[in-house]
Amino acid sequence: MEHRIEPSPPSPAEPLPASASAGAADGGTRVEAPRQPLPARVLIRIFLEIGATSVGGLGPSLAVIERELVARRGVLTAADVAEATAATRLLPGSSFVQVMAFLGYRLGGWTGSVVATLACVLPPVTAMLLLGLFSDAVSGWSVFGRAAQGLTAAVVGLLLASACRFGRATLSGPLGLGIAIGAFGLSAGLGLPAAAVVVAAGLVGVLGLSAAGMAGSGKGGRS
Amino acid sequence: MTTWTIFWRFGLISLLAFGGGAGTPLIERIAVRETGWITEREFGVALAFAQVLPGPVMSVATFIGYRAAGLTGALAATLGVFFVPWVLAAVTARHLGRLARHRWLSGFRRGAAAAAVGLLGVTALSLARHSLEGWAHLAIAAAAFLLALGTRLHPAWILLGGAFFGMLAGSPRMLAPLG
Repeated sequence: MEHRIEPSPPSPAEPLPASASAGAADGGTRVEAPRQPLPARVLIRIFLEIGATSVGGLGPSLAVIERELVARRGVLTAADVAEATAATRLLPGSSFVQVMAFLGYRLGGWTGSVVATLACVLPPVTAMLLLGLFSDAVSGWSVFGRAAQGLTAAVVGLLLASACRFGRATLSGPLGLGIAIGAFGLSAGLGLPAAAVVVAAGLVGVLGLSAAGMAGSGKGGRS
Repeated sequence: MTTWTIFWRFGLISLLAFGGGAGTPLIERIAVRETGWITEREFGVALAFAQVLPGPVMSVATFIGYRAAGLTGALAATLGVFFVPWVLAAVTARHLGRLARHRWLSGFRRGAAAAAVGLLGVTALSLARHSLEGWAHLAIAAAAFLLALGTRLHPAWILLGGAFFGMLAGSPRMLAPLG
């Protein structure tokens, strides 16, 4: 008899944040479609495929999800996928893993979430382990050393481009710019631990948002 | 050093990495600067492979854990870096509305994401100090920056190009020192 992972029980419909409801046909209210149990081996196969083919971030993996789980099997809706990407955006950590864990939960509760997460990280983790195992063996080759140095130089360029793109998307206003410059100075200049810098910046963000909220409510009271 | 140290350090990284790419500088600062688990050069190569290989860039933790403490280290680092995001995502899937609208979480995320921009700059600077040994390497970095920012070329191609020109740049004539 085939083992099936039962879908999570439907939760009551609740309003979503505007970004999360993108694609929902019901105007922002989540309605759970009846779900069929998905065989565990199918879930594992699909998420293994996602883990093995998602070069370049979430885009390719979302394409596999939409093809296999939305269009072909109908066990998820496009709104589920949109909701997963929007809701996990607020959370720390790998967004790739979080979207898979979120959708895995929708497909099979806690068990589905564990299975989906393990299956999608298995291929990249295995590849990195192989790199760790064999990097010593090839690092003595001069051609590898030169290629590695070229790779690292290219990584420098990619990191700077990421900083520019990420900065354009996240640094809104003088507070964000000040935090970014302060984090650079504290880390590069004073050598403060990275974790302490991020926690301090997060707390400044909380205080900044509270101050903005108070200013906003003050304006609202006067008008 | 224990595997527990590796686990909680990577758990902390995943807890503080708000926004795409934010984990990279944290991993570099902790694994290279603060603990010395790997060298700057090893980090650069592992990061390049993580960007070429499928899956999340954070899988670089597996490589670092292995270099630091063998297979148990790899397991501890992998669990550490993926456990917290998994729990948070599953809990969010269960209680979506309340968590997504939490005001403090939103403020903390904004501040932490801004800090990540500055820390990305620090990581790039740190890698540049160790890898840019001549004008040829500087040209590779500049070309990668322009291609990544100005075109839709997949990063894997940019990295492959960097490796190829890095091999060519190995000749002493191409490696004229900077400055």
